[in-house]
Amino acid sequence: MNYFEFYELPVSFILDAQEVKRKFLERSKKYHPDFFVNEEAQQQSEMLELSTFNTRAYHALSDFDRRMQYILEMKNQVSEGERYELSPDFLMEMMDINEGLMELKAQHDSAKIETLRKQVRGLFDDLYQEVSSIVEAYREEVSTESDLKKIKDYYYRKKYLLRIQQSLDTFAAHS
Amino acid sequence: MAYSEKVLEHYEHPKNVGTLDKSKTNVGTGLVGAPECGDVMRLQIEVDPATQTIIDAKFKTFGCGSAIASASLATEWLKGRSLDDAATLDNMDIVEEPSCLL
Repeated sequence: MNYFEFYELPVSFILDAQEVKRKFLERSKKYHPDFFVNEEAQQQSEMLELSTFNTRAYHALSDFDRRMQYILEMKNQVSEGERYELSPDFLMEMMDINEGLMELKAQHDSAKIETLRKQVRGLFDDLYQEVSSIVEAYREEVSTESDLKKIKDYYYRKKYLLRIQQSLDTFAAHS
Repeated sequence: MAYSEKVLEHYEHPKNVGTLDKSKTNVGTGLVGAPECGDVMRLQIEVDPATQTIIDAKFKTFGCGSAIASASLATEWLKGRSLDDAATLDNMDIVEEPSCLL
């Protein structure tokens, strides 16, 4: 059983956060080991397993990026050790930004950090614009393999931006 | 498996970090990404056109220790090699380098 089935939700990149939380809380109650202390050992361990499954499901589905990763894994689009190649243009751009970051690390410059921050925000938006319609309209039975491939490319490119953003946040924290 | 001293040395004091002038016609630039961790590496070589030999090699990466160490090692190795010789280098050579178990 996958996490979407467990929560009786359609496989979708876009979920209502409140609803996911509600499903999690319902199942937390339903499978809570405290309610089964007088049951047989086998049932106790089953409930414990379901509780753990529930925690994992909530972790995976409650966040947009993790949910995207989960769906892509479910659909065998991403796997560990796969050497996925992004376009050279994109890598070049990321190289340039990372080099800019290195310079900022050596010499702190608030104005430059702010410029970079804006640039990265713009890139996040542009990136999502490219796939937003595919992501939002995704339906398991309707969407194609090529749709998933585009989302996969987005997923990997976003990782670069997230990492850059993380560095920028670290700078901000130290300034 | 623990990292060997040689790998640690390349990680702590990487050699050949930097940039070659890519506007030069005898400088070649390669870029490769590691999308799982949002990392990118650039490796450049400068070739002597007369002898078809690599006279300089530089790299830059923002990645993890093993990426830094193996790139540092690779650039060391590339320098002074002929292009034909260098073309035979593959990642297993780095892994199998004596006393360099990554």
